[in-house]
Amino acid sequence: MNFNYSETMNIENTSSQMRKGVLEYCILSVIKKAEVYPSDIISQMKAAGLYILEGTLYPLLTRLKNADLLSYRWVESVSGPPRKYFRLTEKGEVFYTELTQTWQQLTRAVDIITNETESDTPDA
Amino acid sequence: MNKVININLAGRLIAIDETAYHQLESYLKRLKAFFLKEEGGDEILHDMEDRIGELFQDKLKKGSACIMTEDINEMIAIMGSPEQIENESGEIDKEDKNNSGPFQQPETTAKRTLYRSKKDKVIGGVCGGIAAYLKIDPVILRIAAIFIALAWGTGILLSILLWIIVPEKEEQYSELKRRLYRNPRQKVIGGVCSGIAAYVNIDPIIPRLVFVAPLLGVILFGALNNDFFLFPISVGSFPTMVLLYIILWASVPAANTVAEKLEMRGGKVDVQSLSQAIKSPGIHAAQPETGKSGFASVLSFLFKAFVFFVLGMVIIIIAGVLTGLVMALIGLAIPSAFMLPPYSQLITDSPVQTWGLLICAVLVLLIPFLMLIRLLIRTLSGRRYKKSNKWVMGIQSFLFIIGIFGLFWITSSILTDFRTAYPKRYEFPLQAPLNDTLIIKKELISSDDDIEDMWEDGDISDGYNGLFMNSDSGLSISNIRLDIIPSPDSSYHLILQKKARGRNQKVARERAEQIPFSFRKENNTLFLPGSFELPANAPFRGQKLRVKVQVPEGKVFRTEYAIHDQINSFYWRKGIVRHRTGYRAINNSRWSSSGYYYMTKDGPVALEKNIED
Repeated sequence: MNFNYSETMNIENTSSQMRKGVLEYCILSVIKKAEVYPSDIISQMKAAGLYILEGTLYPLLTRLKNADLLSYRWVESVSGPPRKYFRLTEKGEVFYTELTQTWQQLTRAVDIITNETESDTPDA
Repeated sequence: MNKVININLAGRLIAIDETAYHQLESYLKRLKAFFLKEEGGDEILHDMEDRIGELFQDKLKKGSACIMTEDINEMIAIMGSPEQIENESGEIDKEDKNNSGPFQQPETTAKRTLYRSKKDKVIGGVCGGIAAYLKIDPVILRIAAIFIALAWGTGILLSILLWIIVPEKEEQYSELKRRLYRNPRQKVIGGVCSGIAAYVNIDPIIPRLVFVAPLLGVILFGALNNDFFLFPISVGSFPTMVLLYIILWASVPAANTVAEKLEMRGGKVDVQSLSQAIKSPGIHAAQPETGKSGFASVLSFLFKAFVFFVLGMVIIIIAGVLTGLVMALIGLAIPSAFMLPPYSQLITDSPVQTWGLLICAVLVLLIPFLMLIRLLIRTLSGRRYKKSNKWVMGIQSFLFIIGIFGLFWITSSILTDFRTAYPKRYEFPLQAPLNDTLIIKKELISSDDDIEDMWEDGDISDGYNGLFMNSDSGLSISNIRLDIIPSPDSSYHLILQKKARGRNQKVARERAEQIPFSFRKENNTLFLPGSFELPANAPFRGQKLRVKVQVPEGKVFRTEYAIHDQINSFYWRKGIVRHRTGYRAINNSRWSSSGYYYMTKDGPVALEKNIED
C-alpha cells in the first residue's frame, strides 16, 4: 500500500469527524437543561470551549425537529423579532438518555484505550 | 464612495454598505442553493438569516455606522460556508447509506425544474440542462441529439426551440449526478465498455458483449447459415457499433482522478467519500489486468488491431471529407472572383454594392467554416470545454446573420434591376449593292490576340454568348443577334433593336440607349460589329443588340464573317437567317457561313452553287 494518508486524512478532517458525532449530543444536552434559543446554545458551547461553525447548528436543529426529537415555540423578544425556543420532546428525552449511556460507555472505553496505549506503547 | 442600503434581515433593520450587500446576497444565495435540496431548507435558511441579523445588530450596537465587507467576512467565518457546513453537519445516517451502497442516488426533495445548464454547455446548454433534470450524463444526450439531428433535422429545431423557451440557470445538483466516463483501469480498447458498465452498475462483460455481438454474429451466421434472419441484422449493426464505439471513445473523457472515478460510479464527491475511495482498493489501486490466458490476449490483440484498422479508415474518411470541404470552398471562391473588379461591375450597380456583396459573401462563407472547425476541435477534445467566449460567439453569429441578410438584400436589389425591359428601335436605310449581292462581314477588332475568352457557351439559345476583356480593360459582350429576313419593300434596310433591363423603364431606356453600335458599308460589303462594349462601370443588365438585315426578294447575299470559324461560331449565331415569324428557315447543319443565298418570300434559300461546293 503506497497511499499518502496525510493528503486526505489530515488532522482537521479527523477532528471534524469527531466533533460531528458529539455535536448532536451537546446540543441536546444544552436544550435538556433549559428551554433555549439557538444563540444561547452557541454561547453556552463557546463558554465550554467547543467552537463550532454556527452555520452547522441550524440544519442540525431542523433535522432534530423533523425527527420529532425537538419542538419549539415562538417567544416575543425585547430586542428584536420573536425567537424560537427549543425543548426536548418525550421522544427526545428517551433519545437523550440512550445517547448519554452510549457516550459514557464510549468515553470510558476511549479513556482506557488511550491511557493504555500511552503507557504501554514503547517508542516506535 | 459607496451607498448604504437599509435592509430587512429576518425582521431586523440593518444598514449595510452596497458592496457588502452584494457579498451578503451571494452568500445567502449559495446557502439557499445548498439547503434547497433538504427537507425544511427554508426553515434552516430563515433561522440562519435570523442569526446573521442578530450578529449584525450586535455589530451596529457596538457603534459601527453600517455593515462593511469585513463584517461580512467575519460573519461568514462564524457561520461557515455551505461546504464547511456540509462537512461538519452532514447527516450521519446518510453517510452510512453512502458507505453501504456507492450507487445510491442522492435524493432530492426540492422540486426540480428544467433549466438550461450554464456550466455544462456546448451551444446553449439545452442538453446539459435536460441531463441535469433527468440526472443522466449530458454526453449521452448530446450524442443522441446529434443522431436525431442527422436523421431528420428535427433535433436542431427542437434544440433551438428549447434554447429559446427554457430559462438559463446555474444548477445546484449537477455535482451529485453520475457521469459517464471511460474507465482506463479496466480497458480492452478504450475503456468505453467498462465505463458504461460502471455507469449503469453492471458487469463490463455485458456492454462488451453488446458491442462485439454483431461481429460474432457475422462470423457465426456467415459460417453456418446466411439465410438466418440475424445475419443481415449483424451485418447492418456491425459498422453502427464500431462507429458508436469510436464516437464514445472520442467524446467521453477518461476517469483519471479519484473524483472522476467516484463520479463515474455515481458517488458523491466530498472529503469523506474521497478518503473512503482512496482507502478502498477497488477504485484507486490499479486493477491488475486479470491474468489473461494466451488465447484471450491474442484475441484481444487481434480485436485491437482490427479496431485500429477501422479507426484508420474513419480518419481517412474524415480527412477526405475535410479535403472535399476545402475544395468546395475553393470552388465557391472562384465564381466569387466575379465579385472582384473589374468583373464586379457586371453584377453590381455601384461600388457600395460591390463591396457590400464581397464582404457579405466572405462573412457567409468564412464564419460557418470557422465555427465548424471550432466545433470539431471541441467535440474531439472531450468534455473539458473552455468557457466559450460569449462575445466572440455573439459577434460571429451577428456577423453571419448580417452577411446572410446583406446577400439577400443585394441579390434582390440586383434582381429587381432586371425587372423592366426596354427595347429601342432604330431603322437605317441601306444602299443597294451594285451587283445585287450583299456581303455581310463581321468587323474585326484591332487585334485578335487581345481577346480573352471568358465564357464559351455557343449553344445557349438566346445567348449571352461571350464576354471578354478588351485591351483597354473595358468589358465587351457579344450579345448580338443577326437575322436576315425578307424586306417588305424593294430596298435594303437595317433595323436595330437595342434592348436593356432596369428597375424601371427610365433606367432600362437609358441603358439601352447607351449601348454603342456602329456599322459601315463599303461597296457591297456591310460590316457589322461582333460585340459591343459596355459603358464604363455599367452593370450587365441584359443588354443586347438585335440586328435585322432586310433583303428584298430575289436578291442574293452572302455572310462572310468566317475570319476564324471557331470564333464565329461563338460570337455570331449560326442560325442568323430567320423567317419573319422567328421560325428558322434554314437548318443549321446545312447552313454554310460563306455560301450564297437568295431571298424568297419565305426566307433565304441556298443557291445551287453552294451545294455543289
